[in-house]
Amino acid sequence: MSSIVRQPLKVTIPHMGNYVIAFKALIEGLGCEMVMPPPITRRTIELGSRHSPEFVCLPFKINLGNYIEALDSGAQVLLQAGRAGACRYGYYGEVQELILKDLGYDFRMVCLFSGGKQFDFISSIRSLANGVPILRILRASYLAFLKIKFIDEMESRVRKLRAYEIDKGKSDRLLQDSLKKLSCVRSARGISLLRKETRKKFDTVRTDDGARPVRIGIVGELYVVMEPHANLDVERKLGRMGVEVIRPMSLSSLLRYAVFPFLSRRISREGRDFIRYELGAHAAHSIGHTVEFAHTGVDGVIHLYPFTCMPEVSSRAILGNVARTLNIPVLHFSFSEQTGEAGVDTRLEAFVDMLERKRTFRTDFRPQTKTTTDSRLTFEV
Amino acid sequence: MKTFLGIDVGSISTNLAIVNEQKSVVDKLYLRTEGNPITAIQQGLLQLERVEISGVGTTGSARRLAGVVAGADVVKTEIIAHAVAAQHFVPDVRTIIEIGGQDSKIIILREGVVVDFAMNSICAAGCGAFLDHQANRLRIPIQDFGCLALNSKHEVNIAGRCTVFAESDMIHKQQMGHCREDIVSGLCSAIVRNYLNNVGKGKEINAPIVFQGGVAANAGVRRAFEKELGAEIIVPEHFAVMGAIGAAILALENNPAKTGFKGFDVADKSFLTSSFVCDDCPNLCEIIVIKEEGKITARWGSRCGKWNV
Repeated sequence: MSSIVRQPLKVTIPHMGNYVIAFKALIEGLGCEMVMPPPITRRTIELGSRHSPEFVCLPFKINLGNYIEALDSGAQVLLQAGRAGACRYGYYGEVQELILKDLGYDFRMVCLFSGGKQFDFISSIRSLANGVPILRILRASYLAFLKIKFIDEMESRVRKLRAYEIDKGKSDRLLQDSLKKLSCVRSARGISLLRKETRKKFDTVRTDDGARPVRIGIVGELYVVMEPHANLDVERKLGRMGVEVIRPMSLSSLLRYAVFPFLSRRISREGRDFIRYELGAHAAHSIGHTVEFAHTGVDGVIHLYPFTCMPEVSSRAILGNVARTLNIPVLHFSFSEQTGEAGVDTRLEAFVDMLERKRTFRTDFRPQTKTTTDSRLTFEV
Repeated sequence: MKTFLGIDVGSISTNLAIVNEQKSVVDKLYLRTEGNPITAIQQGLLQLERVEISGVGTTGSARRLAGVVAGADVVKTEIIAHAVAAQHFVPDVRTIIEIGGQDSKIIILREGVVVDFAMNSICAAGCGAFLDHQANRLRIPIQDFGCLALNSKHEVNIAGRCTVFAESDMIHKQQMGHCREDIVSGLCSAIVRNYLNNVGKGKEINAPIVFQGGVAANAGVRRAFEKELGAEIIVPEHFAVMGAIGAAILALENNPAKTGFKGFDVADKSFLTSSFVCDDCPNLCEIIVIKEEGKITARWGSRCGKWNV
């Protein structure tokens, strides 16, 4: 007697940086089939914007574009993180479900944190993994976690290497290579081997050890910070100009904060001289990290957020105060689907030029600028 | 004595300047870009004094293109170029107001170093192009536009938030029977208010203040700034070509061993630009190709870097 073979569920999740690789491991580990949303392109953003409310934030629009393209390639279940209480992000899943249903798509939306609690995702995941033993679910989650950590480690390495490498673009190529391999690895041991291999490869990248690159910290709204298509690839552009980029925001750090909320509060507390309460989402972190950067001799800060993002618009005003008080230059960018690349490029270039000149002139004329309030900038060089 | 060339190609004007080692201006030129930056650069090179050039710097929104055409040694943004030039003429400058054809910026300097800047992000209200358009509409030569404002006795209030609203408000005031002087004066104040509320928002504007860019020629706007800021506004002698002077000074600072300058004969060469859409992926990037005498000298515009030369 032949049993009916159940077709695996076809599940998709929107892009965010390279993390879709990790989510693929989770989804496949649950016995579902992963439908990779096609890479984000102009078409994705146009599709998403066309069907979104005009003044909703950019992440919503790109997510929606990802969903539409994934549904067109056969997805049945859409995953959305979403946590109520943070900002509009808490309602992404519900609103996107309504819009897509109105468009006539047939699917199921699963919001991982629908109840607004850290551990809600376990029940959400179980609803996907019908009958899959809990141990397998845990194993899949662990594997996904390891992949997230892998991605964050290597990306952060590349952010630094870009400024020092002699053969420009080498570290980016290595990263792409190892990420391709990562998406095929299916065991913790495999990841650990790949990590060793990748680290070794990064060690062989020839670097200019005499280089004293400008260092820029990146803060802001999580999606726009982590998705290069949303921020017009700011990190790589800076890297190409020979800037070392420091980005505290990553999925690993967000997971860490979710499990240990006191770590998150610790960063917000860094900015206590400027703001003493949460602004929603990670806006207090933008301020906390900027204060931290000012005290650790980072040359400048770039603040990225989606146009109409309430929490970050609030932090923008406060960051102006931080910049003046602590003497650290902050450049703000708000992104929408209309953002022109030329304007962003010019401002980035001018910002980097400014920081470079600031350094050289401050060291050259050190005796004359003894009274300068930001001596921090001189000993950094 | 060594001389250095600076080229600033903006949306409305193309400026060239030659400076010597003492950073004094040997020759300068202010041309209209008229939508054709390459021809403007070639025209400029034809008209400039033919001295030996030891370095070239380009700036402005077409800095890359200009860099390819002239063979630049340094390509820098307008922010740095304007700051460097202003500092040369007013060494202790702390604020630079720059209003050009289609953009405006503020640059804050402290102890001789640029510490902050902002550029207009949303709209071009208050820029040269708008003033030009209004002068044209009122049939007042642009040179006299600002002086007219100085004759005003009772300035009218113009909504300056947006060029479209400003224009309809100006027409409204004119139909109500206000005289031209008062309307033009009101426009100058609206532009200054708009600038300070947009570009200058949140910036500490301290004297000495230098006002440069094409709009600095406008006496009405100058007076409106002085009134609003309560400080003296310094307009440097070469206010219209400060970007080009800055680019030339940057070339001097860079002092290349051998300049990439292609010579004044570039004016006779044929430069052709063309573009195509790369449809290898849905990004559909527009690729720009620049051909010098039929040979591809530069190509850019792709996100992935595929076509770059």
